[in-house]
Amino acid sequence: MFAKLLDCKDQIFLFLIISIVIIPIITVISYIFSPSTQLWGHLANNLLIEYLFNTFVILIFVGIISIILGVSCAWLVTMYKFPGKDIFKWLLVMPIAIPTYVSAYIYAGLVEPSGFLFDSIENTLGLGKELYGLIDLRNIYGVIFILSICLYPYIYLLTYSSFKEQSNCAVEVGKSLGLNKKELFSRISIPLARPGIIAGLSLVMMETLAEFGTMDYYGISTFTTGIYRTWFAFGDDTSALHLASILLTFVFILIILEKYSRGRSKYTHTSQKSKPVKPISMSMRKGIYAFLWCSLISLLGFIIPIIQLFLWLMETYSHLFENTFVKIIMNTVTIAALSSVLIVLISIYASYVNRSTNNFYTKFSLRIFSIGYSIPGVVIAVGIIIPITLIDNFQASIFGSPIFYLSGSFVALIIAYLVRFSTISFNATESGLSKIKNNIDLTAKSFGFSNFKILKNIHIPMMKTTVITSFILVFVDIVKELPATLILRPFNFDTLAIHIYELASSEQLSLIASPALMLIIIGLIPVIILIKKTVNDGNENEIRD
Amino acid sequence: MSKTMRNIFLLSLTLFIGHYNYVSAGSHGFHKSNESKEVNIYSARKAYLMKPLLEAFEKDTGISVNIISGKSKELQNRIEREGLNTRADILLTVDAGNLHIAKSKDLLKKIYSKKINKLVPPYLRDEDGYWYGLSVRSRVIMYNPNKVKLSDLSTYEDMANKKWEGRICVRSSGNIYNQSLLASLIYHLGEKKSEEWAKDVVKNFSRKPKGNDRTQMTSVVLGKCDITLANTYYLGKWMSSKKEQERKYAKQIAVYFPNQNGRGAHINISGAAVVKHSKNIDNAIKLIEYLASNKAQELYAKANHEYPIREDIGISDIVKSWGYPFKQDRLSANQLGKNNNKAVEIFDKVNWQ
Repeated sequence: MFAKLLDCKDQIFLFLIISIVIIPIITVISYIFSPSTQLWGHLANNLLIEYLFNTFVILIFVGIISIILGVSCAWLVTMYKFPGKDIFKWLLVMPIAIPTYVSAYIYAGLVEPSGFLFDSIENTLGLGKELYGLIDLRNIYGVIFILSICLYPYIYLLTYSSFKEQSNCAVEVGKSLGLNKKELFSRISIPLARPGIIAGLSLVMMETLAEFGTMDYYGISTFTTGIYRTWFAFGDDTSALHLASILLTFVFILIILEKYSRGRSKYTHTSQKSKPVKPISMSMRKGIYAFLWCSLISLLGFIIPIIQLFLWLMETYSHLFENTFVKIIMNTVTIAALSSVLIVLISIYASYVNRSTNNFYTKFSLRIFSIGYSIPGVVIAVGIIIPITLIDNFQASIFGSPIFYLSGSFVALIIAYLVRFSTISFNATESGLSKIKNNIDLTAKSFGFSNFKILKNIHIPMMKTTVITSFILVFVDIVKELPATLILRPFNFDTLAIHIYELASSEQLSLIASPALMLIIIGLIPVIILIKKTVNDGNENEIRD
Repeated sequence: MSKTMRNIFLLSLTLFIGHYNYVSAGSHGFHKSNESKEVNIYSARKAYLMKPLLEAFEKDTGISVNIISGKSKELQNRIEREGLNTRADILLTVDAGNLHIAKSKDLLKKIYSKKINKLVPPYLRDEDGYWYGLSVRSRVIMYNPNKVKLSDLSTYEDMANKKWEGRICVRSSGNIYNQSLLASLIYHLGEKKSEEWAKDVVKNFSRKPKGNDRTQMTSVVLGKCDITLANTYYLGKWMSSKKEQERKYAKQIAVYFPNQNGRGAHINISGAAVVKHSKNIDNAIKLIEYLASNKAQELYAKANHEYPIREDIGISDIVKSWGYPFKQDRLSANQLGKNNNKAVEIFDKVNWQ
């Protein structure tokens, strides 16, 4: 009955939006059975094995190390009292604000002349020569290190909330059954936190699969860099898209695995009453170990990179006031603000249509929305170039030359952001809308309000926080985005991320300080919101008590 | 709430449109080739290095310049893929090898301008008029003065000598600078001798090739090896660096121009070409003319510590400090491109990674 309330034009509009998102994906998938080119033979024989091997080794090790880092920290911080715990609680989340490629550049610079590690060893011990060449991060181990210390916070955050939400009852029951501390951890807390760990892990893995900047700089051939090279350096579009379709298949497998493992393990409290976990005091010695462990991770993930950036900033701060730099900030902020507003509006609209129609077609098409985030930017970019070039050629065949060039236009870039980042805001707006009762829609309808009016005057004001949060999340992700922007950006349009990439690729690492710190400051905004939501939930628990 | 959202949207839209008009005036809208007031550059030189010059050109001519930077190969492939509908008017890139590849892929347009031909010496431009050199860069020997006696240095050929065993570090052969250097040797010595040379130089490596020119120079300073091949402007960047460490290192390495008693030190160019399907050919030619003019040359070369295309133009003190003028190998840059394939083959054969 709800379906009838909706106009037909809403469905058509939704269909249009979904097709914009789905066309690049279908384009890429359609190349999975593409005819092989000459280069593909060479790729398949020589490079494909390397791409596969590197990608999987990195995936597996980054996965394992991030679980170890994330789960151990979350466990220590939720279950025990030890020195500095209240600081570590949020400090451990911070690395999430530093884009992985920025960390990669910083660490590469750290052990080279003018990096502070190198300088301090050279100046105090005179051992710079020995260090140089001894520590070389530009290899697969370096990539694993960088990605692990940058991405573990995803697992930390989600596991942290799982541990927090676990009722003390479960732990007490375990205790009464005679389990010791180790067994409590492995047989009660970990299984209960498993959905959280797995959700975090799948985020880590998707970020790893999509990573471009780090692999590019450390010279490791994986799928993303392989696609980029095949397309742009060898100029073989077909092979690049074929590679992209293989990568996409892996992404889909990951999504299915994640859904499957989540669906089977739902643990809920049987009663509404859930006592929060009470942290236990640790012995002095153990407390110091816990302190050292958390310090080490925060140092590597956040403090060292920030110190290095500030030291570089002191040498190069004049860069901040250059005209070009101001323009770059303008570019970044305007494109990100414009795209995020569009994306948030579209997702509010889409989730509204979904809520009021509730048929298979809408449900299915909205699924598409939720996979965009897991598709690497490189793949989306190449998936967009193909249809856009077709449209340009079509225009040219009619008018002689394209009237409006789509390739290298802002339209292409905004579509890429739409495909990749709609998921974030769609998930938020959908859950926001689900909290508003259907009766309100019906009542408003009975007063003769149009859908648009209902949305504008009732729903959006009612879910203000959701809208703002999703705007910020999308905004920050767009600001940090590198590969798709690199491929699709128009003339004269460098963003902070591109500027950092270019400075790093011309080996002017100390100059990245100002743009990188700018990026990190912007990236900290959602982290602070996140911390307020997840980590500082003491009050919430009190209410529940 | 919706008001806030609307305001953010309108504000960013206004900013964007204002800005957008500024950043890409004309390049998206309707335009007819004969009356357009713009020129689009695909540039392998970093946009921020080019900006001051391009702004001066805009001011003088009223033609607006749009630029996008990327790696040379990427830009060439983009031009190839965009085909008839490309918006590129000028390809700006480094190394005659790259320009030759673009020419042989049929991406460039032959142009004729009396002015350019007068400004760019014949050995720095394509014989058929497809591309033009705009600055000169020299690939020389750099050495550690504490470990190498000046009298031990003489020619590129001498690097194959056994006395250098375990003392040379150099970047990989995938790099076009090395390919062009070998291409020049192929021209002067012939294929067979060049192959022997490359084979013997590989024997003298202190380690497998890795990193860029800067990495090699750092290795020389830190005593990992004694001599290397590098382009002079990298040292210029060190000498003018904002960082103390780099300025310190710059004092611990010296430039040696090889083959001064013979053909001269190897030189290469950075250059420009008009793209085959350019829609703004006249403006493109005007820009190249401008970049080759006295006014622009001084800035163009100085921006990156390179050499101007004519000796009557001033150079920076830093560049002068290495010795100027020096004897340059005036082999036509065409030859570097023509011998590129052979050079790559030889590198593969002798396992110069």
